Amino acid sequence: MGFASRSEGASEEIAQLGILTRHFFTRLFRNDLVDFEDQMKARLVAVLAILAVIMGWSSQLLIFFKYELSPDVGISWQEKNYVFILMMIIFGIVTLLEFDMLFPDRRDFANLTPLPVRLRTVFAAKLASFIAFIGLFSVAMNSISSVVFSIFLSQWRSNSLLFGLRYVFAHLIGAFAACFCVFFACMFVNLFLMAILPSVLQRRISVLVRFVLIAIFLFLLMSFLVDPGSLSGVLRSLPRLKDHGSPLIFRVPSIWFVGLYEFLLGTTDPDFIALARMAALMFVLSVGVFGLACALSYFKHYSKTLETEKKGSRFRFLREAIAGLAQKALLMTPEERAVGAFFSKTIRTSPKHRNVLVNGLAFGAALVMLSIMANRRNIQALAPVNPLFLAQSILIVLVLLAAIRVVVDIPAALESNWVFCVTEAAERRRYVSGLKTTILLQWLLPLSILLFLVHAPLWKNVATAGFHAGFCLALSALGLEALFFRYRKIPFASTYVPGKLQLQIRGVPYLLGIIALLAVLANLDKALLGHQGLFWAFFPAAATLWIILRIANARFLDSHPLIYEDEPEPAMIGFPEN
Amino acid sequence: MIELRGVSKKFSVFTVVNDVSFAVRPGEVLGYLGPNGAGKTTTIRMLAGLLEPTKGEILLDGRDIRKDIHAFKKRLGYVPEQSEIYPHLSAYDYLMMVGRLRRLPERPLKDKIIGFMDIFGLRQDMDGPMSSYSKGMRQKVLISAALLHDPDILLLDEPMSGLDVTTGFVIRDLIKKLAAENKIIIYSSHILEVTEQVCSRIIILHQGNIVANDSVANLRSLMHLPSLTEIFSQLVVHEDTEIAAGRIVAMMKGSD
Repeated sequence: MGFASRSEGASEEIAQLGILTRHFFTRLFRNDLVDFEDQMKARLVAVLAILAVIMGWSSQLLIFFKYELSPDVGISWQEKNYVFILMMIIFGIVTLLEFDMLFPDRRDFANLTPLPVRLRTVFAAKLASFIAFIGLFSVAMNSISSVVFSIFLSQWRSNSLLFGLRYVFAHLIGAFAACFCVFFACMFVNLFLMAILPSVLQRRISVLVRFVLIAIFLFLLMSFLVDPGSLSGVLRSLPRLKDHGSPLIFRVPSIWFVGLYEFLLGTTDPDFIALARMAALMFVLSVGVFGLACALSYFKHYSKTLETEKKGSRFRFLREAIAGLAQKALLMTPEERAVGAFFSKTIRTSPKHRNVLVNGLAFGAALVMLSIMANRRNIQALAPVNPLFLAQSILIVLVLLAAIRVVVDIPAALESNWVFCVTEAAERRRYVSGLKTTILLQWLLPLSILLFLVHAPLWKNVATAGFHAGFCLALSALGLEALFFRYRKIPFASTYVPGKLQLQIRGVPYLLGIIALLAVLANLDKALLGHQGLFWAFFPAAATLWIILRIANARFLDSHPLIYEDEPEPAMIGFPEN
Repeated sequence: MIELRGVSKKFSVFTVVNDVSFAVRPGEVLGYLGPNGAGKTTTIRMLAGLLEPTKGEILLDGRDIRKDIHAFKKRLGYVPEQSEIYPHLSAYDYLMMVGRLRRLPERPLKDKIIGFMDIFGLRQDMDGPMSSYSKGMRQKVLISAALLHDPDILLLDEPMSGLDVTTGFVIRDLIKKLAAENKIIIYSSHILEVTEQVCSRIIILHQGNIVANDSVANLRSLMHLPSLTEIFSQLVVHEDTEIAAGRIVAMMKGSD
């Protein structure tokens, strides 16, 4: 092949890369949960604006009182560090939440495979559009805070406008490097797993890894926002560590990039110069390992495409036989079994639903970690008489229920709902009953067993742990009936778009209500565990209430049709005109 | 017998199906033909209970199907025009779900599904997600889903779409055999040769109105035309196809 034709091929590929990057970037503003592109854009702009304001406002709060009148004598790196930590945490969460956008989906394959576009161009365009999309968050977070830092801090070193601009530039470079270091590290973990593990195993493990990483990042974020005291000790000790030349300071990633910030401002402090070198090294390293993992997973996908491999399990027949027996014993009618299997298979095989559930559970895990950290002195006893400790189990139950309730409203494939329409039976209650029984058996019962297994050795009292797990199971069953009260849909088969009105209008009362409910339930659990004989009155009472709710829901379904196309919630709420 | 009486369907101000009436008896295969946008799929979707007619009624054995829509649906098998199936499920999971929703006993259902998958050559792929299936494979799954419960009424909306030649022949012969079993079959298609072979009667729809309703033989003798293709052309094609083809070629070359 001649040089001319090679260069023509390369320029064609570059042109395709540009077109595809723009195309994928635009498509990132659409998703399955939001009806219209404009709606998604408006939502994204709102999120970016909120992030910009939060970062700008917290920057201003941090430095205004300290540096408005008294000079910055080389100590403002502590505030910069605080802002960088916050930024890196938020960026990590955004990266993990949006990670799946990196990969071409079915639609991409269907539309692009017939075209003369190389797969590597598609991957490169996906990556470029994803980095551009993620970069928007970094720009938003730094847009106000870089100016705030420059306005309040540059005056103590120089009155020149150029130095002010240099301050903004140093802030932006330091912050972008910090954010993208987190981005490349998070991506590396996921891509590396993808590259080294067989697809089936990778799908299972990556869910767990994603859950753990999101839970950790959320925990750190909430620690900052809700309970800054828990980490302030660590932050307070940093100046002392630096003054004593402790090598420990090189183990805090955010300070590497603060070092880069100070280096770009022209510092002569050898520690900062060393930290800046560390930042550069770590950034290059993160880009390198990311590139390597990217290449490995690309070559894996190049030969296999992204379609799922065929599975063949030696234990399939045994597993099916056991599952079939359990299903028949607990899900009496075929409709119940159909809906139950549809629910389980969708959670297991649909990445969209699985991710929402994982994110919800990670949020719950982060809340529990935060609560344990915040009350670590009270909770040290880890005793059944400590309502704060008992509340952790109840909190997990509530979060799991809420996450499942959100997930079942996310449609799987609206155009495929006809199959439920043409087979709908007169006994509509069976569809909802199958769903609830499946949730109870597959999620809530195992959670209660897990709680028992954790508490029994901890309390060294099997009966108390058993009663506590029973209490949680009873709560789960009642909560399930309450959350699905008058629910008349088949899971994943309705047009409802979740969470629009509720979060904006009802979010605060819900949150306050949940905190109050947690306190009441934890104290009730404590009282019952203190007089365990009372459980023999509690369980029948809970069972009676559960039966009443079940019957009420079933009767409601007998007289109301199933919903496939829900009424959309109003996008704007106004006062009625007279 | 299934009967449509004065059925119309309007979407906003557009009348898609206008005052359509016909009846199909057991053992009869009705070919429902028409160009794109004629209203075939809308009629089929009304018959399947997926759309409510704006006007008119649909009767099964003299009873309005809306009076007991569940009983009607139990007797109905439906193959939609688009292969709209849950892409994350496997063919086996999907068919199990459909069978359960139709209250079929589990053991025979499993055997039936495996049998269908064997016949359609999908046994090896039946555990993979349907997102990875070709159009023809999805169509085979949809046809299996429509036949699982041995329905009395079959609504086939473009059932041959995406199928290979051999499977197409199987479906053609299957329609004949099911008619011999006294099933009511409504077959909507663009493939006129197959329609001519399997349908005992033809309805041609044009812009929502019925323009022909008779057996192929009667239509041939009435219109003095040798084939269904020519009858169809005479009734609904108002454009010289050769001229249209010529214009397309000219446009491709940029000379139009």
